[in-house]
Amino acid sequence: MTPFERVYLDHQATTPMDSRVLDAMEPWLRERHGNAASRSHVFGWEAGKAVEAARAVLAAGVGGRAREIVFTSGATESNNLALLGCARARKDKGMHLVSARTEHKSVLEPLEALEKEGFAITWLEVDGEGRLDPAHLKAALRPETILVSLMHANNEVGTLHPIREVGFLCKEHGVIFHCDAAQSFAKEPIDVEADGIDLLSASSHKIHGPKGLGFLWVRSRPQVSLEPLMFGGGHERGMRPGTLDVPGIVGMAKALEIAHEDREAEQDSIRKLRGALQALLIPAGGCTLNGPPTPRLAGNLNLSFEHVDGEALLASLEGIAASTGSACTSADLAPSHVLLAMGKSPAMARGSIRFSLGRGNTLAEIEWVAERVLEEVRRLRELSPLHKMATENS
Amino acid sequence: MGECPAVGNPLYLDHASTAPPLPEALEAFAKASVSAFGNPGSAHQAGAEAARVLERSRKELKTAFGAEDFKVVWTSSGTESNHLAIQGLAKKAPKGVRRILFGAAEHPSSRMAALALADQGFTVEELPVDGAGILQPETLEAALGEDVALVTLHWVNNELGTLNPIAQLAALTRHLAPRAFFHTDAVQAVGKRPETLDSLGVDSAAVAAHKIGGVRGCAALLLASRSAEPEPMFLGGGQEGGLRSGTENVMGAAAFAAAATVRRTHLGQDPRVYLGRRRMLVDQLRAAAPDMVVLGSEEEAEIVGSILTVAFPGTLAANLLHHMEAEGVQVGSGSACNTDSPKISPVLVAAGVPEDLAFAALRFSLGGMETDEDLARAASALEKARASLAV
Repeated sequence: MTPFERVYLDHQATTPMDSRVLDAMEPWLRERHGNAASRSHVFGWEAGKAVEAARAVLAAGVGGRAREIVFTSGATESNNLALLGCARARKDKGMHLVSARTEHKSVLEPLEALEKEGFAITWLEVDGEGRLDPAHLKAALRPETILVSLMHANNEVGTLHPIREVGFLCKEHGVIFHCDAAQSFAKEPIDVEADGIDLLSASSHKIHGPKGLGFLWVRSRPQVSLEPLMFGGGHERGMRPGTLDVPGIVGMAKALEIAHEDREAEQDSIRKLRGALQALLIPAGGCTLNGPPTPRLAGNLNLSFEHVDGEALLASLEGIAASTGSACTSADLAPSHVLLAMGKSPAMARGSIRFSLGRGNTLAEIEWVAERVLEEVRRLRELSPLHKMATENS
Repeated sequence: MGECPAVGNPLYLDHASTAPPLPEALEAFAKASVSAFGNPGSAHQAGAEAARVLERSRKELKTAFGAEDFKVVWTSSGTESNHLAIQGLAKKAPKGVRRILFGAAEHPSSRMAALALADQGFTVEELPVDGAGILQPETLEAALGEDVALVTLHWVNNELGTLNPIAQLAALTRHLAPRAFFHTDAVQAVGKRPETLDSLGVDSAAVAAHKIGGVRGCAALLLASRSAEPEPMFLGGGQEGGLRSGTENVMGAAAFAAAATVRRTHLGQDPRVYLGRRRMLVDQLRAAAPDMVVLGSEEEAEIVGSILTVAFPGTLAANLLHHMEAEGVQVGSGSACNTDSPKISPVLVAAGVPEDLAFAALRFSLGGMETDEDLARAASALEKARASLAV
């Protein structure tokens, strides 16, 4: 089989920018470089119009209104603004929040900060596949509950939460629903109206757009009020100051348009490739799928190989980009908090490896990767005393 | 997107609002978007390459700004940098040290970040500036004391282009308020002034890419290595040493470093590049409009060359802007952040500029590469604009 020099299977960490996105940004980087807040000259007007057009595209992408988009520097800022901003603005109504331990760190950390400010948090249990039971949510809601934060798709194991049921329960109880959609935006269908979402975080660099950009969609009917994290300048209806990144905003909207051109077909083909990779790896034996077979984010394949250390496997797969967990924490060697919350043992959690497939991956790449993985799993197991003991005892 | 009124080859003189990206910055941006697209936190080759570019950009930025004694914390905007420093450092103040001092002519992002501390048990005090918008050392001296937690003063005023004597103000602070952090908003100064950040003696400085020809969406907080670390504002993955979570904008950082390097080279070749251009612009404008009033200062020791704010008595700035625009010359009035509000800029109010002059004030801000012809064109556009308004 023809070897590949490099295969990128880490699309949940970040994605390469689509060349069409850079093309769309070009004029705004060059001759049309105005500050969108400068009303006094034509460069400023043009930039302002481009921002409003992008706002409309992005809002339509989640079923909201253009004026409800608040541009941020990425999903981390969106999550921080949503959680800290909403909880602080609503604390007169109650100080109880609900979330789950399988959330991204940019949700967990602000929640822990709120805990120190006196908020109480109920952490919903998830099952062995990372799924949550809406009945648990229903039982957790109290009169003083003000906010529920649950992600759409899990960044490590790809589990899709039943956001429509979550949204329905939140509406029924008059509770604000924040959904971190960083992993599902532009991939899974999202409709803030039907799904009952009040605050939605999204990121540009996960959808082949530029880095350093994202948005928080903030419901305006009825208005969800937020205490801003930053002040001054009056941009973004007072919720988020700072000169708008016009080229980046145009690029993010273009990235969404490209993803939505043929969203279902693209996700289907990515799902098929993921299935192929999974099927090709079964002969390794002792291989467990982390997260549910369905409903699952199309590109995510998270596996644990018995008696194989995930880090060691990754390190031996030269030219193949995959990960053991989320990129921001891959430098620390603690087992994944997501797998632990799913009830996996620390050993199993350490043995996990995440392949995230995306636009541009081919079957030939997948076949080559599978062959390499099988080879390395075999080799690492031969070196493992644990594996030796286990095979001798069987 | 968006139609463009017919203006052939416009002359852009609003660089203090946002500057067009330099070719070197665009090249670095495009290159990084392909070769360093990975997440710098990823362990694989694509991640490692992104991390290499990010770290190289960090070093280049420090060299370009003369900030070897600082560490670079990447952020998304000058506003974010100011907030991270002002709010984050204030939270590190010892118990009982509760006074926050800021200048009356600060950018809204610093001013508001400071004022918001009032809700967190701090006493926030606004210090008056002189008629040029400069905070005089004796004003600061009178306010300093053991109970001061943080002082925030810009290096260059974004509307008047006047300089605060930052090194002197920082030294005074260290002497009379030893427990205070000294933050400076250096967004309008870096790349335009020859002094290094190392020479200022500040704890932190905010800098932004798009004011010097980088690409928007990337900025930084420079933190003195000896200084305490601010309480982070964005929590999560723990990037930037835990000071600023969020996937790093690698291509933005590469473009910022490239732009900063170009500016440093230009300044190295000609430290007076901006002052020289500004002086010529003043002469040209004055010849076209002898009644013109220069706001701020005309003392070269007190100004940055990239910003010139002038008033034309009896002519509303808003009207002048539109007529100059028709002549293809784009200038600004006040800070871009609040052009929607018809009130006078708080900076001009703080500097005691009379109301009639404040409404007649235009800000010309230079990129430093304007030719003599460009400046003559600006003056002629002004003359025509005034003539048509006088009819």
